Amino acid sequence: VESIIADKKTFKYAYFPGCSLKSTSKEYDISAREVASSLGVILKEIPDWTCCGATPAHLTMHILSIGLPVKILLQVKEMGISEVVTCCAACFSRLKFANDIMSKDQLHREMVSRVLSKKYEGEVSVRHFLDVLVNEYGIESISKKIVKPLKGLKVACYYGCLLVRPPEVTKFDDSEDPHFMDDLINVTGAEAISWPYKTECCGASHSLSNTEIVLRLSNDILRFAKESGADVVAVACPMCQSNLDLRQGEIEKRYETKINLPVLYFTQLLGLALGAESKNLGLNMHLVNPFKILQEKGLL
Amino acid sequence: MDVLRRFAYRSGVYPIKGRNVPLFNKVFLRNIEKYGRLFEMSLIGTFNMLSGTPFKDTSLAPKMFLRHKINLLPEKVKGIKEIRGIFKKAGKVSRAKKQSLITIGELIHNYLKR
Repeated sequence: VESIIADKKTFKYAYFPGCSLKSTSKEYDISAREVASSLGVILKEIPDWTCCGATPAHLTMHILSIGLPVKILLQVKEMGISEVVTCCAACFSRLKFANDIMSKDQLHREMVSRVLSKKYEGEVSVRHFLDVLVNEYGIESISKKIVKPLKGLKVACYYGCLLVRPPEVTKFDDSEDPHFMDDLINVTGAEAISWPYKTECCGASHSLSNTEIVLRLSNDILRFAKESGADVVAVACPMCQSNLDLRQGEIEKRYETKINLPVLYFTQLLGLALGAESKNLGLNMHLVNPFKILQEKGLL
Repeated sequence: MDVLRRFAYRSGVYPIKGRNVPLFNKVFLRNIEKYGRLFEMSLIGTFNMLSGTPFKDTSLAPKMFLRHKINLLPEKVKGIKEIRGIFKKAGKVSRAKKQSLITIGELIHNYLKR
């Protein structure tokens, strides 16, 4: 029944890539579009979108941290689409926060309308791509589209902070023990392993300003994933991916250890299972090479 | 926590060992105000220069270039005037001081403290 509903329903969303997906995480954008195209999900990019302000706006100027995301939500409203999808966990968090506060608080509405000279009352629904795939398209419907099961691949699903916390705002999965990504990875034929560091912080935006903390936190995450038997780590956030992948060589030097654990976006793994070619998923764009393990498992 | 942090920022109070974090936030926001979208090449270069660590992450740069992970030019945004207007008005509404980059004096101070 679910697959009939999925086939009949039109999945059309406004798409907010965010800054990272146009630079350090292009492979996330490429693979998300590839997955969407395979499943018939329409992602219509917001024309001329601008930055959501990310963590620096949140940490410094409150009205700016609400105003910048509301500008984007107003653009979505002008497109005549009621839902916006983003792949970046940080953008998701900022858009969701702004939307939540604008739908509830009159004082914020007045302050933001003075800044933007436009009115907004939280009319747009903010979704993460993982949420759309699992809860709108449906696991059952996705399972029917799998043509190349990722058999024998053990995956540590890493959610990080911003996707699941604070739960009263993100309203996304179980904040203590999330399972959406695990469910999706299991349906690809791979095995989502049980491990304790699913929602630990990687250091996120401190990558440049406090690198030592990022190295320590990311080392813990990678070490636990490796010791739990993972072949690869799956992520849904460009900052988590950058910290765990780009900084992995530095972590190995700093802690005199060998990790060599590829860190892939969940969209890349799903794309592979849906039969997409590796070049269309940006698998060659990571610093820790994922080809060796994928070839060993006979998946490429 | 967020409120205390913002008050501290407005008053110019920084933790002794955490000066790089507010500096990064300033450089990041100036970048958005200027380009509309994050131009990472400028962010990394400016932050490294102002934090007194110009050669930080230089080993990563060629690897990122080869993988097309760093854009050489900023992306053009048509609504940049609107963004600058938001920054101007948001500063007024929240009574924050105008964002400004770290001064030369602070830069020298940072360098001597290393």
